[in-house]
Amino acid sequence: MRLPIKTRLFKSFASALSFFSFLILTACIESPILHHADADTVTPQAQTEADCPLHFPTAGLCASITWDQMQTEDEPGSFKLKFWDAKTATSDGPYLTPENAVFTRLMMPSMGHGSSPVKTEQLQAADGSLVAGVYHATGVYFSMPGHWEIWIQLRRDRGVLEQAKVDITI
Amino acid sequence: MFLLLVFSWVSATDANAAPCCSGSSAIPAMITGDDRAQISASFSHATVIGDAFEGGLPQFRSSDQSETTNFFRLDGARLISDRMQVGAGLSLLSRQFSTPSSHAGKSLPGDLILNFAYEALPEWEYSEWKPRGHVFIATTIPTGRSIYEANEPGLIDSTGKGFFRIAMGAILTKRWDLWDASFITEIHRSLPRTFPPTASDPDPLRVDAGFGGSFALGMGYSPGGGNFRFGIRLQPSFNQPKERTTLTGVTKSSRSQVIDTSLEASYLLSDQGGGTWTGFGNFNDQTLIGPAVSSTLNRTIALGIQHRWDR
Ligand SMILES: [Cu+2]
Repeated sequence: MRLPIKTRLFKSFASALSFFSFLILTACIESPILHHADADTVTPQAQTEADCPLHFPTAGLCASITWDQMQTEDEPGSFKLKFWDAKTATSDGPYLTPENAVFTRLMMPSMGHGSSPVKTEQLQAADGSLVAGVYHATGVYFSMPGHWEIWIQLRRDRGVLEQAKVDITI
Repeated sequence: MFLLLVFSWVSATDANAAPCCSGSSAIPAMITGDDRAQISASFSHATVIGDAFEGGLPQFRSSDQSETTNFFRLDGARLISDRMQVGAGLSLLSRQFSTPSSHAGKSLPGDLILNFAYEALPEWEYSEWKPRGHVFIATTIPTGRSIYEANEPGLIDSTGKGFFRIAMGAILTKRWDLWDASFITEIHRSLPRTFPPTASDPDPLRVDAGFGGSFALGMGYSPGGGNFRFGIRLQPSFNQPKERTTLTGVTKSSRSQVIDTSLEASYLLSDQGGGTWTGFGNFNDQTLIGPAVSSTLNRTIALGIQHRWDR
């Protein structure tokens, strides 16, 4: 016997609704609103120290990053970048100015994009002279939370000779 | 009652185009009812609630900073024959980033969407179960500024995907007395593109964003067959990893995935003189249902008005 049209319609809607609820319930297992971390509880984490955190084998150099200031909500961060001879010096110096231009590029690998430009200049002493092997990077601003890479490049003629990176989680 | 149904994909489409890099549905507004033409104008406001990563828990943003995008959008479609239609959609984006002591904003055009649709399954006679079906091809023209060309802090000057994109899909709709249901699916391919050097990256960059897709399942109800319609919709979107090629090598991003949950309401304002005016409001949330992968998570409120000309 055929049911009245209204009853059949109601039945199909009831099953559609329960299918919907099933979808929602199963997917909710990983609902972001129920399972997430809060930005306030996450502190930026830079990579741990190593003897040669940034290695440039062709130039025979090592380099390290020391933060002056990590980015805050309102201001970009800045860091000092120090280069030394990989064979004869250590992270404590003496520092050595690379023969090529130094450039800093930020990269978010999981999403494949960068961020706003970073300015990298050789550090000036109080008397205006340049400090050998030490650079100052300013305007370091990561555009969103997540895992980022700070790439330090040695460049010539608009091309990259060598590059190395450190990882950081914002 | 048929006039009630505003299938406005405005909010879901645009919410995804918002900050950064999430997958987007790229589904344009189409005529799915008995109309000759339609035009709609809408305003939507999207707030970034958090970010989902490749692994680990999503992270919600701190409450004293806000990243928002306002969209002003125009959509139009018209029949060019009994079963064929063309349409277009263009939006202007105004993006803002605020903290208690600073504010930055930027307004730029978004991407342009052009589409062509064919009514493959017409509803010539009443059937209890057989849906009405359209197939469509939509192209996205990258008139917005992409994240690969943006330079401002927070990249708030990125307002587009950056790629020519071709989407193909189908829409099935079914209406009963008080209820309606819809299913939309779409697959898209972004064409690889080379971006010129910028101040933040002095090397030319070629990006291949690959394939992506989405599907949406929606239901609607019109109490007493009156002028109101309420609806709910679920729409997961997926995107393949992006491949970046520079002079120093090739790198691959993560795949991305986000699920939109939408509540829709519309009201038939007037029905006279061979046309209708309908007001609509949508609430769209990407934080309710997961898992979300490698994407910002937005909440969007959209308000709009649509005019339709009867056939
Ligand atoms: Cu990102």
